[in-house]
Amino acid sequence: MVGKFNMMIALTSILFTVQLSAQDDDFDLLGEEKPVATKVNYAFKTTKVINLQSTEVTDKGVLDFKMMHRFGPTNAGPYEAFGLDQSTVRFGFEYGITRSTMISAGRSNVNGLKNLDFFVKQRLLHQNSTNSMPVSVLAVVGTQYLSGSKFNDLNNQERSAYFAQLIVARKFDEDFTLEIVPTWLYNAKNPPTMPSLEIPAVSQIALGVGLRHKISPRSSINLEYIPVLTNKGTLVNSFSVGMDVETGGHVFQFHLTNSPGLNEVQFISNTTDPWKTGGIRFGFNLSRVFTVVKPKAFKK
Amino acid sequence: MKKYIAVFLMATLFTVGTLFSQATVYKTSSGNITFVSETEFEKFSAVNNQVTAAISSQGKVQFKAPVNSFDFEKKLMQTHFQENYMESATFPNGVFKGQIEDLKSFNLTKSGTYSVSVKGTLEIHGVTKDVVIPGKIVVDGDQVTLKSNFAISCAEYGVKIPKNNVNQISDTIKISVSCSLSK
Repeated sequence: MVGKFNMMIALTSILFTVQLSAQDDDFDLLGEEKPVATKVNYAFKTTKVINLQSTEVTDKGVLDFKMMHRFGPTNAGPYEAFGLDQSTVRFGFEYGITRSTMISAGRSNVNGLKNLDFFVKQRLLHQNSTNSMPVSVLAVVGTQYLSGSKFNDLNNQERSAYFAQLIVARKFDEDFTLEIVPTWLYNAKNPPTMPSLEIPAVSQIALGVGLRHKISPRSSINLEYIPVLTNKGTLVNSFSVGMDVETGGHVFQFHLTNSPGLNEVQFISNTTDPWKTGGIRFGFNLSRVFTVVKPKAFKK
Repeated sequence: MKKYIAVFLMATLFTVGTLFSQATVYKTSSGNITFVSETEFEKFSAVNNQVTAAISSQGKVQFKAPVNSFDFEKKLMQTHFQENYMESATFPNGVFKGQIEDLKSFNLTKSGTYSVSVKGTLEIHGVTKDVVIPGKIVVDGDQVTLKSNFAISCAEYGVKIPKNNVNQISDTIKISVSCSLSK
């Protein structure tokens, strides 16, 4: 009787041992998978939706040369080749100082005005995969300065304009991103070459909306609308529709827009042609990146 | 007498069982994996220093490499790697789980260099393949270093290289692993 009892214990212990070994076979050496909050990146293909700033920040140590073109309005007729004879240009550089800060400087020629501009874009919050941070938030502040001796009667203050923006964006899935961009603008004087533009006061509030929808891994359709909410005067809200095409070293953006302007002050507060009367322009942005500072792992 | 034998037997079995189940495990979360793509026209590499790796005295080997932790010299390349090629938002990690085929081919408690062959599964870009990967185990006191050089094919793991880029990006990616583990 005692023997049987002991045999049972012995058998049980054998079973127990076997079970332990079996457990060891399934044991995951790296530990249990915990859902880790990772940053949601690549909400847009480049730093701009079309005209509006996107949530992307130029990578640290990378210099991005940006060339922007807008042709004349299509309603200019056949004599002007439906706008293709005229063009406005901005070329500028963007540089990533840190992983979340970029600066940009550029020069533009719009409506016969030679403007210099500068802005800083700073990432404040980064959307993550667990949704403990559901949106990305960035701040942009910038200035525009009218250069050249042509307008000698303007003093420095009258030549300057400023803007500040908050970008609140969410990448809903791999394809779709939506951003809302509350903007404050200060424009000391109406552009001297634009007599049709009358703005009652110098400071304005606008609310930009931008979105992109990928149609393939390397291309997307983009839309943006920037209604000016206060002190609108005779200006027309900027509306643009475009497409991003990524080709190896650069992103090619082409679009239709009613804004000839190429920086925030110009396209938000200096647009005068409405879409419905054919004030639509063809335009494109080109970007080419150069690695200026190599990442740590590649320094020798 | 029988009773004592049974108790003794039981105790022995229990001890042996316990010993077997408590395999020694060496780990790290800062292992290194580097890969190189080389074509006639372009050569580039990427470095990952956030690889988790583990080996047990019973010859189980595991690696996990977060895709977003691969650093490239050109950041735009890194962007394309994550977003277009590896689709890291959907497939965040590369994972290898394997078993050293010959348990007598190595000894983690004795300093030396051991050549081993590891049979297991390699998961990249959501595709899992059975593989046999050659490697070296360098034991130096309490430090165990796992090293391996092998190559994979992008196509086998469903990573598509567009026609326009076949001159710049090789289908064959050479991978080298070097992870220093401790208890």
